[in-house]
Amino acid sequence: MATFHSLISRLAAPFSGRSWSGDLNAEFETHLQLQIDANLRAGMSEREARRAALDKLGAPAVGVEAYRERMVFGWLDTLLRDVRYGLRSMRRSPGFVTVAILTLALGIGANTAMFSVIYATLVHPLPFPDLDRLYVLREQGLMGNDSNVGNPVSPRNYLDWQAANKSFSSMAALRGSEYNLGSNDGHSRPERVYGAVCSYTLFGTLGVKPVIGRTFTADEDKKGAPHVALISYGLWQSHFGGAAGITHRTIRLDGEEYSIVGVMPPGFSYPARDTVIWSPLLPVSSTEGRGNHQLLAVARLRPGVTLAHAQAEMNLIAKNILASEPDALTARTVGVIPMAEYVGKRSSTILLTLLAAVACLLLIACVNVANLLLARGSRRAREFGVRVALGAGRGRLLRQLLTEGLLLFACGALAGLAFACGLNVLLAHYLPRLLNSADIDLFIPSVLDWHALLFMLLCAAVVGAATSLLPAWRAARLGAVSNADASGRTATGGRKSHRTQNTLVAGEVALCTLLLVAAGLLARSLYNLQRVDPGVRTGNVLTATVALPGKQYATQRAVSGFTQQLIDRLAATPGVVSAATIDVLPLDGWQNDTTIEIDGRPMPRGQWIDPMHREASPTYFATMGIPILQGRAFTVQDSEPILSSEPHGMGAVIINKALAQRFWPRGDAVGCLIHYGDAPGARRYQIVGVVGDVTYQLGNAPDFVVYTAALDGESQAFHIVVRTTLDPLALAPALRAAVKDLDSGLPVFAIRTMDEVASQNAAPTRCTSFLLGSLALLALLLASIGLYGVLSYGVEQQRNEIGLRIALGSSRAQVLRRVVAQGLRPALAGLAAGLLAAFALAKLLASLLYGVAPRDLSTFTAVPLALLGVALLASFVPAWRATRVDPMAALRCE
Amino acid sequence: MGSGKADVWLGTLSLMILKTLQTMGPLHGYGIARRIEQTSQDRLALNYGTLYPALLKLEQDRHVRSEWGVSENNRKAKFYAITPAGLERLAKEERDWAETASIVACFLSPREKDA
Repeated sequence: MATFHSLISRLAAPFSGRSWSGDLNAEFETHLQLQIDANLRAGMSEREARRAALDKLGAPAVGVEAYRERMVFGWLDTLLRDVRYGLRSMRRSPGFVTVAILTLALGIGANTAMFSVIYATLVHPLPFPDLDRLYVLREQGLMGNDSNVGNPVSPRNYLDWQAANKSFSSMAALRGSEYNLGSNDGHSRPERVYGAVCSYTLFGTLGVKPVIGRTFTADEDKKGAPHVALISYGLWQSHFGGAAGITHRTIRLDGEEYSIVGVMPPGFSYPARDTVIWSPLLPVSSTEGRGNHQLLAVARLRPGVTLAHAQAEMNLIAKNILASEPDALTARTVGVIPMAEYVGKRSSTILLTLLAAVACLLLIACVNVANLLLARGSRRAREFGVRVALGAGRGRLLRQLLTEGLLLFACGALAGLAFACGLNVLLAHYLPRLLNSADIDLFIPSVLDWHALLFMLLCAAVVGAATSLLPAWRAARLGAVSNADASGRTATGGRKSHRTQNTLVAGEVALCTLLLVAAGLLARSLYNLQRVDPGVRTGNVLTATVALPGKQYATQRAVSGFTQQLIDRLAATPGVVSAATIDVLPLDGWQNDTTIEIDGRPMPRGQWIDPMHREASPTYFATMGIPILQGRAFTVQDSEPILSSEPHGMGAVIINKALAQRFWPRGDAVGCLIHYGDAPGARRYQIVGVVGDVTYQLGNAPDFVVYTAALDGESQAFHIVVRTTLDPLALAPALRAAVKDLDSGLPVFAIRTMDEVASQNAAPTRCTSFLLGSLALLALLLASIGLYGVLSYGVEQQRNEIGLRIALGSSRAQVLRRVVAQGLRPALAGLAAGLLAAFALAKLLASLLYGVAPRDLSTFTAVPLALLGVALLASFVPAWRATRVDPMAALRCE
Repeated sequence: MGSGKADVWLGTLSLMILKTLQTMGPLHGYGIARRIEQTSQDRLALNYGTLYPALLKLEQDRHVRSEWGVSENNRKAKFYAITPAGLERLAKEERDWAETASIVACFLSPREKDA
C-alpha cells in the first residue's frame, strides 16, 4: 500500500503545479537560520556561525538536486526539466537551431515522402485482399526469344488457360478501353473517359465487392447480352451527385445506353488509375487466331498451391497449345508474375535510386547536425563544468544533452512532416505521369498514411539518438574534464573532437560525391536523349485526338469520309500548312503491331516479322516532316481497296528505312508484295514507298514500321496532326470548331503540341535527373555548410595558437594555407572514398542511363573538380577569418 | 557516494527519523537533525541532501505527514509527525533491527574475545 501511495504521489508531483522547490528552499532557509542561531548560542561569532552552518548543510542546490532525484520516478521530472532547459538553450542560439531544424526537416521530410511513395508503389501497391496470391499472366517466348516481360494474352489462349488449369481458383481477363461519355442532360459536351472491358470473373479474382449493386453475371458476359456497366465511386459522385437508386439509371457510352448495375468502392481503379467504368468483355469466337495479344490476364492462386507448381502447370498448358497449333504465334512459356511486382516493375529502379538518394541526404543532414552539436558541446564545456561542480553526475549531464538532441530532432521531425505532406502531394500528382507516360499503373495516394508516419517517427528517433549520443557523450566528458580546469578553454580539449568532426565531414563529402556522380550520369543521359533525332520535325505541329462512336460510324467508308472532310476543312484554315490523321502518334508508345510476310520469302517456322502498324492519311508524312526516301507517299486512291472491302484488290503500304534495309539491303523494296499475319489467302499489299525511321521511344533503336493508307482499326480513335506557321496552340479553337461543325457530339481531347509529346517521352529521364540533381545540389550545399562549420569552429578553437603563430612571425599567407589545408584534408579523403563507392555502385544505374557508360570518364572527372572547388570556397572563408586574428588580443586572452 | 551505500544509509536514517518523531512528537527538519545529531553524540552530521530526501521518502510512503507551522524563531517551517502507519513500521523495524543486531553480535562477539 505504501508503495502504491508513493507511486501516485511521485507521478503526480511534477504536475501538481505546486512550486515544491520554493517550499523546499523555505524549509532550507529556516533550517539554516536555526542552525546559525544554535551556533551563536554555542559562542561563535556571527560570521563563524554562518560559515559553519553553510559548511555543514551543504549547497541548497545540491540538496534540491538530491530531493528531485528522490521525488519523482527518476526520469519524469528530470525529463520535463531537461525539455524546459533544452528549449531555453535553443532559444539562446536561434541561428544554430534554425539551421539544424531546417536541415533535419529537409532530410526527414524527403525521406518520409519518398518512403510513402515506395510503400504505395512497391510494398503495398494495390488494395486487394491477399495480394500475394494474385498473379499477372503473360505470354512468353512468342518470337522464339525469351524476354521475361512477355506479351499480353490472346483471347483464345486466355479461354484455354482458364479451362485447363487447376492451380488458380479463378482467372480473369481485361483490357483498357476509352469511351465518349455522353452528358446526362444531352446538352453539355461529351467527355472522354477511361474504362476497362473485363471478364465477369475479374472482381471475384481481385476480391473486391461493389459498395452498391452487384458485379456482372456470367450471362452478361455473353454475346448478345444487354449492355451493362459498373462505375467508379468517383464517377458516381461527379456525374450522378451520389444519387440513390443509381442501379436503375443508365450511362451513355459512345452513344449507346448501358444499364448501371453497381458502384465500385472508393479508391478502386484497375487496371489504370484513371479507370472509371467497367463493362463485360465480349467473348471471342473459337475460330479467331491466337496472335491477337491484347488481354491483361490476372489470376488468384488456389490455397495450398505453390508458385512453382502453378508455373509448371501453365508452361505445360502452353506447350500443349503450341503442339496442337505449331504455326500459331503463341506462348512457349507463361510468365506468372506477382501482381505487386508487375505493377511496380517499371518504376522500381528509379524509385529505389531516389530512395537511396534521399537516404544519403538524411545521413548528410545528420552528420551536419551531429557536427553542430559537437561544436556546440565543446563551446558549452564551461557550462557543463559548472553543472558538474554543482553535483550533476555524468549520467545526468548525458541525459540532458540527449534530451536536447532529441528535442531538436522532434522539432525537425515536425517541420519535416509538414514538408513531407507538401512534397507527397506534389509527388502523387506528378510522379506517375512523369515516370510512366505510356503505362499508367502507378498508384500513389496523396495523403501520408500511418505507415509513413511511423517510418518518420522511427527515422527521427533512431537518427536523433544516434547523432546526439556522440556529441552528448563527448560534451559530458569534456564537462567532467573542465571541472578541474574551470576555464573551459583548453587548447587540447578540441583536438580529439576535431578528429571526430573531420571524419564526419569526410563521410558527408563521400555521400555527396555519390549523389553528384549519379546526378551527373543522369544529366548526361538526359542531354543525350534530348539530342536524339526522333525522325519527325516536332516544331509547329498541333495534335488532338478524336474517337468516332462505332454505332454512327459503322463502316470504314463512314470513318474515312469523316476524316477526309476534317482534313480538308483544317487544310483550308488560315495558318495551316497541312493536316493529316494517324492512328498512333510518333513518340507516344508502341501500341499496335502486326506480323507480316513477304511474298515469295516465307519465314522459317516460329520466326516472324513483327513491325509496328500505323494507319496514315496521304498527307501524314509531309505534315509530320518524315522524309520519303524512295517511291511515293500515299494518295487518296490507295485507301480505295480497303474501303471497298474488295478481298482481292491490291493494297498499298509504305515501310520505314529500318525494315527496308533489313530485308531489301540492295534498295529494291518498292514494288514488292507483302501480306499480313498467318493467313496465306489474305489481301496483298504492294510497297509503294520507303520513309525515314521514326522512334516511338527516345533512345530506342529504330523498329520496323509498316504504314497503310486508311484507318481500319477497331477503336475508330485517331489523332489529328496539323502543321502550322503560327503558334500551334493558337490553332486549338479552330480545330475544335472544325470537329464540332462535322459532328457536334464528338469530344476533342488530348490537345497537345508535338513538342509536348516529345517532351513527355523523355519525361522519366528528365524527372529522375531533375530530382537527383536537386538532391545532389542540396547534398553539396549541406556538405559545404558542414565543412564550413567545422573549419570555422576549428579556427575559433585555435585562435590562440594562430595568434601565437602570427606573433612568432608566420605570414598571413602561411596561416591561410594552413587552414585551407585543414579543410581540404577531410574533403579529399571523403572525395576519394566517394569516388571509389561511386565507381563500384554506378552499374546499378545502368538501366536508367542513355548514351553514357556508368563509369563515364567525364562525369568522374567533373564531379571531383566541382566538389574540390566548393570545398576550397567553403574553407577559404574561415581561413581568411583566421588571418584576421589579432595576435595581441589572442595572447592577452591566454 | 555509491548509490547502494546511500540506500542503506537512507534506510537507517528513516528508522532514526521515525524513532525521533515517536519520542519527541512533531518536529521541523532542523529539530529532527539536531535530535539525531545529539543522540549520536555528534558522530552524525546531516546536510540538506541527506535529510530532506529521506523525509520526502517517508512522506511519500505515508509514514510521516507534514504541515506548515512557525518555528521558535518565528520562521515558516514544515513540521513532521509520525503517522499510525509510521508507528507500525517503526515497531516492525525495531524488532527486525534487534533481531539483526543480535544475530550479527553472535558472529562478532566470540572473535572479539579471541582478540
